[in-house]
Amino acid sequence: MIYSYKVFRFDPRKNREPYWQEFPVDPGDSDKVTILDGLFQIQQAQDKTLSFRYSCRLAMCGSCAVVINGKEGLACKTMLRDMPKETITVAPLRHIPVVKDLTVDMKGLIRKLRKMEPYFVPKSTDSEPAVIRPDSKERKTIALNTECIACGSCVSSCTMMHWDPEYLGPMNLNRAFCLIADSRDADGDRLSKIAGENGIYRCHMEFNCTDVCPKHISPTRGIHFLKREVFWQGLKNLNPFCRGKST
Amino acid sequence: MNGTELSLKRDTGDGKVWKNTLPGMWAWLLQRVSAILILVFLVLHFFLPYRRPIQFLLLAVVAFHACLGIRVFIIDLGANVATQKTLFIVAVLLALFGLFFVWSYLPFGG
Repeated sequence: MIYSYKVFRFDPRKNREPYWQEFPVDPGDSDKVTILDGLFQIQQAQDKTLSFRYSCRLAMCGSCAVVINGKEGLACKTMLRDMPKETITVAPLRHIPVVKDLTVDMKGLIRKLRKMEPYFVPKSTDSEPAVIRPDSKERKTIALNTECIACGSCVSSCTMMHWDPEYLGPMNLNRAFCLIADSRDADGDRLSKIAGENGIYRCHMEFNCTDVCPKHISPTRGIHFLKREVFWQGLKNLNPFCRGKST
Repeated sequence: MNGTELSLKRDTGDGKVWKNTLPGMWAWLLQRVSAILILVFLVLHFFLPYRRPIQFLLLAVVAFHACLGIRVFIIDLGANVATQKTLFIVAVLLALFGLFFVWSYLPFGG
């Protein structure tokens, strides 16, 4: 079967408006051809100017996230044989500026991520490795959320990003969740940084991010954990004996 | 660069977008739309009291809004997010059952 790729094309240096271009893709006899393989075929045989991003090719790096037939996914993980129709639309991620064709600029997201200290700040100066039991409550709470590959699929699927471009987004809030839920981390004022209008309260629990995540993570779950944390922290602050103390 | 910066957005005018809309999003939309409809039917109910169609519609939107609210409440309190689709179905069934029960057994409009 010959597939037809309907690819989003836009070069800010040449085009004023984006357009769609169709390319035939022949997967041959193999049924193990991915959307990314099809993009390679187009780039190598039909149009060398087609721009897209990839790296590991085994769903580990998150570079090749695109919108396939209207739903976010990794091009290297999505099989051609799973496509319901012969015509496949491939578009760049939504809510992220397009650099060229299918390549998007993650700079804005990383800038927002930096604002909320996305790195581990140890509470103690102990140099011994921490012992974290897999069956501990804390480990179970954090669960798979540390497996985020920062592909941006959740950001693309989140309709709140549409209405509020300053919203931190599910990807960034998931990172904050992993750190705040970790008792070894000194939260500092990270909680107050994410508690604003553009933070956790912008999540309206649509679960789009959970449904599209290629690593089967639920950022929504993390965001709601943070909402509860902010709530309990607020209650603690009402108590005059606890006021001023961090967690 | 000619300075054109472009970010794709969800085009609600495109039918495909609605076809790809997922259950969690439908639950959210249904609750928001029912909230607006409550306001509309409540105002109508004040000006046109004891009209059975208006009473029924008001009751229907309140039932859906309340049951979907219970779903949100349960997830907010820490229920497993994997159950959100099941909870959506349960909320809709609960709303239909509540609507049927109240409409059938409580005296509305005589």
